Amino acid sequence: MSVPAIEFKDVSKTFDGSGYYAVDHVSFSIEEGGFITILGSSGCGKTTLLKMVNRLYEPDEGKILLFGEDTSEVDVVKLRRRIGYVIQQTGLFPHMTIADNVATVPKLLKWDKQRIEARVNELLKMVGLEPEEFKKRYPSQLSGGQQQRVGLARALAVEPKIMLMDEPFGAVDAITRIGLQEELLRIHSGLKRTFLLVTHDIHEAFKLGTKVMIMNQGKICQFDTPANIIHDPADEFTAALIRSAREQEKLWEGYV
Amino acid sequence: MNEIWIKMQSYFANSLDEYLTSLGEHISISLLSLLVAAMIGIPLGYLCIRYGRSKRWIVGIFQVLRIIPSLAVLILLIPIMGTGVRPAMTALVLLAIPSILMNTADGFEQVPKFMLETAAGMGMTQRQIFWKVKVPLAVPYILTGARTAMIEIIASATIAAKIGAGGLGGIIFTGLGLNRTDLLLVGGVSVALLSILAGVIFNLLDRIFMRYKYTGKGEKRKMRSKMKRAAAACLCMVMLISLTACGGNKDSDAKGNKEAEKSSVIRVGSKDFTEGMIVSEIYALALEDAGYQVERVFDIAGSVIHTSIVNDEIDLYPEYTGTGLLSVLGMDLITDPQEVYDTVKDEYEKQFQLTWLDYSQANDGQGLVIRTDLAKELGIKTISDLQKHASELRFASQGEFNEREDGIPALEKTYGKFDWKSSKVYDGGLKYEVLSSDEADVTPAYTTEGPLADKDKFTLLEDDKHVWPPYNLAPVVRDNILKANPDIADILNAISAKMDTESITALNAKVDVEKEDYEDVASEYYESIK
Repeated sequence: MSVPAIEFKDVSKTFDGSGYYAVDHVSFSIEEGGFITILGSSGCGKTTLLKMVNRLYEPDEGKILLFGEDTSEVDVVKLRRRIGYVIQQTGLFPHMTIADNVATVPKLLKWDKQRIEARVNELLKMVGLEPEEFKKRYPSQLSGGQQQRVGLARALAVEPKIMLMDEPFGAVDAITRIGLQEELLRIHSGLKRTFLLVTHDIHEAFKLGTKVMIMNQGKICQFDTPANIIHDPADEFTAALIRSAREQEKLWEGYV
Repeated sequence: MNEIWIKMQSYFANSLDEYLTSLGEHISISLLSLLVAAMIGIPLGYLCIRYGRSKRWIVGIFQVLRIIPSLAVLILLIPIMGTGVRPAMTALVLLAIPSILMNTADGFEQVPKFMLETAAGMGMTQRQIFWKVKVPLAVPYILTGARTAMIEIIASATIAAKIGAGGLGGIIFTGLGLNRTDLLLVGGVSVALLSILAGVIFNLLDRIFMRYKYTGKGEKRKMRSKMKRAAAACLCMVMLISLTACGGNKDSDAKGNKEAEKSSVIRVGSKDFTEGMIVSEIYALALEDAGYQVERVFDIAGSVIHTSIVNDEIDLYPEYTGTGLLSVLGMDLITDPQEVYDTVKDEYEKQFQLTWLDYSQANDGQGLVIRTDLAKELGIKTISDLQKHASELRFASQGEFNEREDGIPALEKTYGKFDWKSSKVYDGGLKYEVLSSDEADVTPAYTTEGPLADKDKFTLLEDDKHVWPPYNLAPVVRDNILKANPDIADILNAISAKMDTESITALNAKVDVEKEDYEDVASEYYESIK
């Protein structure tokens, strides 16, 4: 059996003064190349869990291993440079051009200019943006969807083995979101990378995930393939979640 | 208007070097102050955010400091730092710090948390986050703060001239002192243009280095409102300046005499300085003693009081014979006291229907003062002696003295060139301070100024070649008042007969040096001579 890409061993996290676990004694492991979606309502601990992977938050208890390596024993800056990170607000730097934004990590790693330029062009093409048209623009000149594509390109710059995405499409309109989801699936299929995507949209979770992790109140309710979860929900919360999704679908049935 | 234009042209033709020096001083003081203020304000602003709780009190302290007018700061600093460029810069730096500090704090504060988190998430070290994300995003705010500070500094640097730090303020104060609109305009407009130029330069910097701000659509609107604000600021400046320029130039067309008198209320006027107010108060007390009702109209600017009496706004006031001769009548210089008095008496009667009553021996004329220890050391008693030693002495001039016809030009015509070791301009109120603190050795003064009562410290030099006209004090009264109340002449002449230079100097000293109330000093003196 190969070493899992990400492994949580009895990990807990509380925030000062909150008095309850944001993440409550969680254990799981993710095989390399999986596209894992983490689904839950706000406050369920899904973002906290994600941010512990690249140590934006430190766990209070338990261990997190990446490819068998304890993250707490690795230099935090080096660790993060190996992990792609995308957030809902894109976090693009407004004072840098698109090219400079995408080249952020390669520059931190002191790649030479030609290599950076070639990589930027490649990445922009990969996320569906024409390099010559977009390279010299600033983030404020792009639409929300385009900005998120740049955010994606930036996170992919140094071919990280693990990508963390925190509701990346939460702020774009429905049509753009579908386009971006397709793009993301395409990018994932071409590379042997482990994607971890947090969402509160059940359709997004089940559409993208090779496996879906359902969280509630800091605990994992179920972690399985979409088909298994739909056919055999593990607890009442998961069952309710699926029922509510089906209820919503009914809305469309009368309008054939 | 045309006349002012010609005067301005001739000013530039004759004094271009002087102008450029002032301009250079103004710019260098302003830039240095900004630099120092930035070196203090930017780190403090950052610390405010870094250590959150300190923000409130740091900002608080500087807000309070900012309320203190720069002029007050200057005066407060004199005992500590003396005069010159250093205290001037200190005042300007204090003025400039708050806007830089607060904008820096705002700049660092507005960087969104999620942006910092993504930066960290991508593997930037704290230092890289600071230099590559925080600083670039804070810079536009810091620039805004610096721009505000720069404009405030440029405007306020005019007062640096009050304490010998030079700059365009010198031209403005000279203009105020001589009531010369051309100089006021040259100085004021230059300051305004400098401010505008500074604003433009900062906007350009912002445009060049912060290009990203001006790409989105929303930002353009912000930019436009910024330009509007700048334009409004410029307009205010220009209006202020034209106000200062016009203020000193009040219309002098006479309203004509009113024939009827306002019963027995006598309006006694006074110029707006200590001696004028003491003497006017003495006149008023004497008139009240004789049963008149007196209305005191004190604090009239020296340059407009003649207009006031001609326009029937006051009935009498103490005037100096020399002022009447040179400033009011614009006649040629005469140095014999009796001859001056006779001339002004005749001319005032003819031209203005005003009567000069008897003149007193009190002579408040122009003089030069030297520190007593130095006078003894070098054996200087007269202005002729002084001229020989000029190259060893530092001269503390006041605004208009170097320009005024009866100032340096008259001195040099009679005594020869004065080759001062150095010559700086100070505010008139500081001259004794400057001499006491050994920052200068010689200063122009008026011969009855209070501090001169202390002869161990200051020595008034004898005008041995009679450059300066006598400035004897005498009451000037409207003819119609005198006709209706002839006894006024006797009442006031009795007072003039008792006054001399020494007694007036002593009275001035009581008010200016010992800080007594001028009304008490006047009544005490009046009781003693009555």
